[in-house]
Amino acid sequence: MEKNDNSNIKYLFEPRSIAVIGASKDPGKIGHAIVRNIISGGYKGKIYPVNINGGEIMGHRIFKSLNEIDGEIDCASIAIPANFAIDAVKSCVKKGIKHAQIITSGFSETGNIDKEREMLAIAGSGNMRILGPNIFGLYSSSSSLNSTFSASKIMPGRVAILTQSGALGIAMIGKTTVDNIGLSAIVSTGNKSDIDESDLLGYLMDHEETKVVLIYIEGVKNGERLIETLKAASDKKPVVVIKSGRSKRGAMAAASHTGSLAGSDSIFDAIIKQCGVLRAENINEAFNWCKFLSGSPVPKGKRCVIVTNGGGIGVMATDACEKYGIELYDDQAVLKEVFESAMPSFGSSKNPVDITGGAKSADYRTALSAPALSPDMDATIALYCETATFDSENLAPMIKETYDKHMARGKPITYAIVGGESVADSMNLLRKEGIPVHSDVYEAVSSLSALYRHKRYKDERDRGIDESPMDSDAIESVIDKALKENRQFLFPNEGMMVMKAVGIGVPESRIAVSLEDAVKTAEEIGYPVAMKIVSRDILHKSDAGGIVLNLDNRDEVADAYEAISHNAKSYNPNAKIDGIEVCEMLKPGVEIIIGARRDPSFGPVIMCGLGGIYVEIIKDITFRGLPINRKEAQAMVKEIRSYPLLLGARGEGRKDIEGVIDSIIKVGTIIRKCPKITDIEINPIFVYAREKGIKAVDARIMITKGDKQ
Amino acid sequence: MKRLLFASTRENAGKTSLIIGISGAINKNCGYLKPLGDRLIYVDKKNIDYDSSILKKILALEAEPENLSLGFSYGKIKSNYGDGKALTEGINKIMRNADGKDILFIEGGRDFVYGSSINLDSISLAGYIEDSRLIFVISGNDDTIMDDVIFINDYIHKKKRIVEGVIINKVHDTANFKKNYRETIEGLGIKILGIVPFKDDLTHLTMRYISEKLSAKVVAGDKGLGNVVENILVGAMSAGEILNHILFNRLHKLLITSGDRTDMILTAFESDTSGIVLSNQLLPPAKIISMADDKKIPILLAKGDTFHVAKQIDDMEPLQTFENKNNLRLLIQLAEENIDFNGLMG
Repeated sequence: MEKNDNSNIKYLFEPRSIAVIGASKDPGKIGHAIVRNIISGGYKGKIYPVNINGGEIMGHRIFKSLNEIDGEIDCASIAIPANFAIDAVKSCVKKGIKHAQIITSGFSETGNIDKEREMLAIAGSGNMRILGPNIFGLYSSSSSLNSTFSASKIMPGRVAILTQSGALGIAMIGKTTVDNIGLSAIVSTGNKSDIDESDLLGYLMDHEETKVVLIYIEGVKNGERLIETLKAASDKKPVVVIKSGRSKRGAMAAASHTGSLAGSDSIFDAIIKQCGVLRAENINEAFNWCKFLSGSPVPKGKRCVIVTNGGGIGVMATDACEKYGIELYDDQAVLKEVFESAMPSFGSSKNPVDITGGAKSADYRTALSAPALSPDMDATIALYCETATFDSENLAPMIKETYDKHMARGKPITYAIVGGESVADSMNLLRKEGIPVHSDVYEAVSSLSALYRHKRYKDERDRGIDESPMDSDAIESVIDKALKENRQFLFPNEGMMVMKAVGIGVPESRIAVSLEDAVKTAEEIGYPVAMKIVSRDILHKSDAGGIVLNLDNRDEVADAYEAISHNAKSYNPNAKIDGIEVCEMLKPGVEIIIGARRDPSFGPVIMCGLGGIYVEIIKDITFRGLPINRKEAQAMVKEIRSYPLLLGARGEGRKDIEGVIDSIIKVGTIIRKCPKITDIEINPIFVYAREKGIKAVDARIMITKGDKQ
Repeated sequence: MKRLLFASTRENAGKTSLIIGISGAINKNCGYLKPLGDRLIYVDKKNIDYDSSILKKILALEAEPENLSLGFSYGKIKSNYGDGKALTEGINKIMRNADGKDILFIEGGRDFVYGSSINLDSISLAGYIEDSRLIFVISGNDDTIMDDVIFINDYIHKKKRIVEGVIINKVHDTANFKKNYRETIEGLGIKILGIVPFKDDLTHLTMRYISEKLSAKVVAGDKGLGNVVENILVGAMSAGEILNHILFNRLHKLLITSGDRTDMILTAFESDTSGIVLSNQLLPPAKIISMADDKKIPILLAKGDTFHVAKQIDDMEPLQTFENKNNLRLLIQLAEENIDFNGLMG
């Protein structure tokens, strides 16, 4: 069955006819509520209630079966017990119905996976798409279809909600009404047996009435497809996500450090950011953003101004701007010119512009009109603290007027007003008109920040993919040799061969199988050298006394060879010793970690961060889904807290940041192009001064016989 | 200079202990060599033999331990001293470390055949070192002791006439042994240069030795690293149960347990405990560490699980340490009381 087919999914949102299987005359039944909502919602298409008992509901005939219905049916809502649902799906397929909303629960969410699979197979045989099971239904403003069993009335609008949680979804319907948020759609995805967020986003991203999409996700299925759809959707409109819960697999499953660091939520967080998605912490934040994003124009530039009548609240807003990454306009001459006429002599035209506590509504009107009219301002944060001298009856009209002025000029404005009863009354009034008025400064700034982040994503997005050339044959050969020996990992020297094959600098090293060989190799490489045991039976080399560092001459190499051999035999008398690796002793540099793995949800992901032995403790790492380009790799490097170390701390020069970016691209190329590699972790990579490059000290690579791509 | 070459047919016969005891008992300027090292320890990027390192301290030798041996691995020795001439030169070189000594103790390989393929077994050494007196140290039960004596007589003494005598070491019942076997051995023409009784004290380990052998981190009580361990107990039961355990109530015990068993560690603090080894590298709370410091009970943090750690300790060879003065005194006393010095020196 073809997925993400807009024309096909369209009839889920805009069916010309809908059958409700399980329609009931009993007002206490879900089947009744669905029919009631469809009729009262003003659905213009044909409605076919179906119930084996027949009869009539709200003036509509109840058909005893689908066979009795003559016309074509685009969509069916199935609200009958799980035991009968499969038969209902069969009859839908027979009838040629395009989509089924399976309201019924009692499938995979209760462990009844086989029944869900059976139902899906039956639907697939008739090319019928399934929404659910275990859902509350769907609302679509395009067709005025409310096939949910929600008790609340849905207000049409510009926000679409996709929710995996049915109960939360119904609660959100109620909250949208209270918060005066109009919906273009709300869809419950339930068990996501077939139709998932990607399918639904495919429709909504091109749905003109939808200005913002809000998604509540608990778990991700087919993450790679979701990434692509989220990227495409974010190109067109803001997508806000609330995610709770953690994947069942995630960090514990992975053997490498990268795996243990890659709690699926941290990967999810990084990846959705990469897709331009705005992740909200909670429902309130998400709703505030949605309301603001759906009603506000996109700012043309970064020049934002705060206008306040209170110093304290102005400082709070400044803090909030710094927290949320909003730049404040700082040209004193322009600020003075724009706001001079709106301020008393003891006010301040510095940003935040303080029109003082004595300001009346007229002063505010002037001060808040100024940035709307000025060509030098792009966005406004308006703050008001209730004062005894303010003509509070004019608060709401003033806000309405200045809001309209901003809208008329395509400039966003967000309000935070703090005070007592009259302020609360004004707030209620303004919210009903869809004006973004908040009772908290941080809420107001956070909403504007969401708008800026979406704009920044659209302005800066780069869909290019950067890859690195590599010697695939050399890598395949190393992997094949390891697989023939039934290994699921590469030896350190093999890991280094892979690094060489993609052009990542490595210390020179060779495996010696005799003392003479070790001495000869050390002489060729040049002192100082390090020596390490190479044995599949000794993974923890240092525990086994299998690593010796800083050897300065042939006598020390000879003694080290002897000692390592002796220690290895003592540690594990049965260990097969493949030799002792003699390698160049590197000068220390800034220690970076670069890793990549195949995430069970999102496919190939790459990680970069501060490396070394404390990597798990410091956890200064960042992730991206692959593929990426140099720009994204550069953003990764800049994101880590330790980035200043690479810029050169305490008088040191700038490090080879370009080398790190190159290495990220190279490691990403390996994991994408080599399906037998499941995990790569290079830790540490020594990063030297710009002209001195980088060197990978240790590369752990896990492999598999199967193709994990 | 007398040159006494101590050999043994089997491993752990007690050659080093006897050399320590005899050298302490005779009150002469003694030297020591061990041409083929076999107890390798890697210190400061050099390989040294454990026995050489302790004898250097006991005998106050000027030479460094690495200069008292030719090496350890056959490959390295072959590479450095490939032919007989070079090997002779190598031995002569390390022999020069004993110039000016009254007596030179030369310790042979760990058993009779060790080093044969590179001509550094004890019999070959006797050939290289002029005027050396070959003495066999024999230990085991009565039967194996007699096996070894007969073997030495039949295959070495009768053929080459180079064995000066034997020292029967670690004998559990000396009176009975003398009664039953002395006459037989002497009847073969083998001189008995001493019958030394077994002493349990000599098998005890110190906490420092255990920490070094485990490569463990000493997290507390480092002032008690000289504590001697006489009993070893794995604390896997509840703290209540362990109080009734027979080993727990013995003196100078070592407790092996996991670092998260605070109850077990506290219980051990309240009885005679020489030290505690924590497995799995689990650190106990700061309070426990502080208490261990106060009580001078070393706490060692070891890698590996409890089974692995216990097995490592069980497998440890009870080697003598320089700091265990009681044992060193005991070794001297045993030599004084049981060795025929005249026969030994010839």
